[in-house]
Amino acid sequence: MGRDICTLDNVYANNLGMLTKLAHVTIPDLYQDTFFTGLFADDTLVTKNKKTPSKKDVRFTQLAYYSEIPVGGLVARLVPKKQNELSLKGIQIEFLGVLPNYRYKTIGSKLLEFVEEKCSECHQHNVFVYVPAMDSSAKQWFLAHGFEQHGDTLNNFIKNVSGGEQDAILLKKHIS
Amino acid sequence: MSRKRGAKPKAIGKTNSKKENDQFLEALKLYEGKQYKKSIKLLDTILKKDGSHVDSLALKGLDLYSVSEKVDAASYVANAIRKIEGTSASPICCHVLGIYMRNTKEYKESIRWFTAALNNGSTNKQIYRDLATLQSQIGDFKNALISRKKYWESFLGYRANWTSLAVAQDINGERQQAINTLSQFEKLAEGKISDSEKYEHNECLIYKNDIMYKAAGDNKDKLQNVLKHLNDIEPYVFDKFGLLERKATLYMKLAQLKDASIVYRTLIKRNPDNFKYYKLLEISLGIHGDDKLRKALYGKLEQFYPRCEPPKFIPLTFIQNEGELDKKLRDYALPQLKRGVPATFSNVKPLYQRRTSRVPPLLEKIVLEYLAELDGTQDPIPYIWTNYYLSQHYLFLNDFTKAQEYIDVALKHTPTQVEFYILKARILKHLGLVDTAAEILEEGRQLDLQDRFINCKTVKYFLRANNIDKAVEIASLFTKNDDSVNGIKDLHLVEASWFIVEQAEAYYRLYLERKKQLDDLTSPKNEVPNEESEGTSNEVKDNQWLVHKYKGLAMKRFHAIPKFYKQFEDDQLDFHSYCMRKGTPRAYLEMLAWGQTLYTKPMYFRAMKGASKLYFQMHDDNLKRKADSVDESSKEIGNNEQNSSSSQKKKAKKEAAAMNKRKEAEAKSVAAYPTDQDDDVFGEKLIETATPMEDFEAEFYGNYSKQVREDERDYVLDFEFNYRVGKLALCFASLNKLAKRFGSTNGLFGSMAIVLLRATRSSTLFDPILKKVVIKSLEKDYSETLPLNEISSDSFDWLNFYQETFHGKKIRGLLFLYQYHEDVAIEHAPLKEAIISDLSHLEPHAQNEVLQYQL
Repeated sequence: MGRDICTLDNVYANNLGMLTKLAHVTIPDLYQDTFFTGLFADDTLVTKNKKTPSKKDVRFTQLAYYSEIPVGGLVARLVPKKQNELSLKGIQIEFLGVLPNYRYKTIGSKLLEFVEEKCSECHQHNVFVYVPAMDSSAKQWFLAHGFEQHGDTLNNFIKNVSGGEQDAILLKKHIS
Repeated sequence: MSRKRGAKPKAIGKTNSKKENDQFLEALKLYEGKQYKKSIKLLDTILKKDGSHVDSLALKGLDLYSVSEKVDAASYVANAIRKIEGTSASPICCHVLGIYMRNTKEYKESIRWFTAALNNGSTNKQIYRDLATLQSQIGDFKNALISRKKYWESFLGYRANWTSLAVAQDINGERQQAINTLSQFEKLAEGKISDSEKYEHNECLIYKNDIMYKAAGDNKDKLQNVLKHLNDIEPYVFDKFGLLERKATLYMKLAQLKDASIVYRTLIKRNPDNFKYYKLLEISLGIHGDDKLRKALYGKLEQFYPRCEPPKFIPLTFIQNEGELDKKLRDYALPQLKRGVPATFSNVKPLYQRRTSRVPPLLEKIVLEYLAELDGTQDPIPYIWTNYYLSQHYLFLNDFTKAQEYIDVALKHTPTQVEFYILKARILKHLGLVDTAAEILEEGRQLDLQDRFINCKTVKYFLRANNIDKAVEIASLFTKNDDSVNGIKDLHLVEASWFIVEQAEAYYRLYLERKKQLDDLTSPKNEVPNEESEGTSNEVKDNQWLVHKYKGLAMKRFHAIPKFYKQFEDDQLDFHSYCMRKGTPRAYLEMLAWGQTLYTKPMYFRAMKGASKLYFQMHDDNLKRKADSVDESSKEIGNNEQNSSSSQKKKAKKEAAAMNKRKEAEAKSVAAYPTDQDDDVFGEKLIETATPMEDFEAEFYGNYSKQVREDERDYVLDFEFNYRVGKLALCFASLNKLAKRFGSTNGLFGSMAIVLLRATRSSTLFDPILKKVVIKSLEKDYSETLPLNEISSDSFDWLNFYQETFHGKKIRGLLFLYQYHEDVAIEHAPLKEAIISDLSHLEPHAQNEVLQYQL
């Protein structure tokens, strides 16, 4: 029908449940529920690329649909200033996931493209992400998409829902 | 609307003095100009002088009604009527009263006063039109015809009057006259039809053809005539489908099958998705019984209309050859699964139902094979929908384990598809796990909060799980909750009967549950009330209130449904004149037909069934109380007097106050109507009635009984109702009809027969003559099946007799007996055992229902 079978769309307060579900299924035990409910806490439409006047973080969210079914999601945060020694400024991917059965269909790449676009729109030059050091498939995926490792392994950086801790590595991609 | 226009009574000076009369006419004018307050003021000056001026009293009543002071209005009108002998008042007065009665929906009275106005010399011809409308509304078509005619005679210049006369004649079976009326007007109007009148004209033309067709019957010459007329009007008729369908029917009746088939082919060309046309085409081609020719026909049609459903689907309903059927099913179902059509199963479900032994096994094999070829990652879309299909397939076959397996695969694969949650919940519901089912749906609902469909489904499932608060909370997300805490009022306003009935049933189940708990708490082991701890007594009180509340609310909700239906019936009123003005007689007749089966519609019936359980129980309780009252009442009074020390009185008072407070708080969340329109939020008045059977008849059963078709009656309900009002002969009639329909070895027949038999024994309170009549009838028709000699014997084992004699629908019969086990002297325990041992034939959820709420 001439349409791409895979499309992206914004997240709204009404289908936030989809994003939450996707995050819990693709990366279990990592995200607190408040992480998602906070996205729409005071109705700031985070997908708009305007800088909100409040001090709140600016976040970008997307849902990826495959044949009208939501199968992938994205949450990214604008980090305009360097927060500490180890971190970078730019856009941080906080969640990017696609249901296992829908991988290798360029859905993830589309979501990443979206982030990169936002990155240039916001005049930033870095897209970066923390992935668990153990998770080689995630690392492989980002490396294959032009990311490079930045700095050393960060010990016990990622905390999951039940309080456990994991080592992480920081991956970044430079956008000119 | 038209109501106000008719309200122009003309004055005739018959009142006492000239001045008074003038003042009254002035007041009337003010009423017509909608200046009700001024009109009242003027009337007051007349009434001050002459308190019994009937005309003024009546008009003041109408004025008051118009400013919505309905109570005062009623008293003025009643006062006026009291002063009138029969209907001998001035025509204006009668007219005013007629309008008032119409406003208050007392149509019969209204007709009486309108007629009186005319009889007493009113020259206002408009009254005839209002009269005709009201007569049509109450179904008095004979007199409606008279009124229509009178009105038509006075105003020949309007098409509406000709149309309405023709319709009235048609309804009264005066078909030829109706045709003449329409033809006469056609002649008058010839050449003068403007563009804006063309639609009306076309409707009237085809309506005339309708009447001609009805009048023709099977007479060939007349049918030929109808056909000729149809051809004549063809260029002017807009409803081409209606016209072609009529033409084809005429050809069929005239046995010109070839011509008929051509018309059906034209119809198929116009709408190739209408199954009906294909069926009729087969008949007109005379190949209905020949599968080979049919196959050829559909093969051709499929080429003509490759995107249409019927030519592909219909062959699946008749092909016998296994191999061929297999291939056709494959061609039909697999492309849909491949495309990921969610409704694939729904599309083939008619085949599952009609060809249960042949189609399901074939499709099971086909789809399983197809699934084996699929890979979840390679072809995710076909993969999930095929699993979805198989889950529905196994659900249809009642294989719940497999159904769950497949839906779980789909859910795991794509947990973001809402449909999967719905199906999963449905399977759980069939397994009787209503709570889990509701939770699953809630999980699905969270995914997409703006999906109204899953919102409604979730609400329904929570109601099924008796979780009313949660259900209301979710439903309220989509309702207008202006000044109320939840959406209950809005759901009543928008007549959401599905919700109200489900809620009523949930309240009813809660009522039964609570009652059981209460009975346990107050069972004989706690005989000595003084030694009870405070806790239990509070618990008892709490339970008592809940039992009372749930019962009342169940009744209140059931009552909301007939209210809607009465509104529907009343809504017809405007159309008796509107359809005539707009020239839509065919739609009007359809509406009348619909109105005549209104009270047999499924939702009405469901509410009636639900309410009947409560009413019957109340009636039986009343009887029991009456029987026990002699000894019980004296005891209770004694108890009360002993206990009423002052401290206890104080405590009781305090408790009553607390109760009232609680009621007030709860009333907010259960109120169904605005406060000023409802003085019985909890339905307490409804359940405290002294005459449950009369109420049931007036609110539910009467209308149903009048309208329901003889072959669609619910014999069990009829029997139970008539049994309680003592009409044993009618019970026998129901029994007889049941036997005719299901045979006399049917379990329901058996149980009803036993109840009726036992009712005729000498110790019951039924009329002795009736008993004799029933015994005689039973002897005549069923002396071989029923042990008529054992009627009065208390030692006869009725249960054993039932088990040995009756077969079909056994469990329903047993449950029926269970309700009447005291009347028929069957021991409680063995009967219960028999029911439980028979339960295994039912689905798990039905088993639960019986165990929880019927035993």
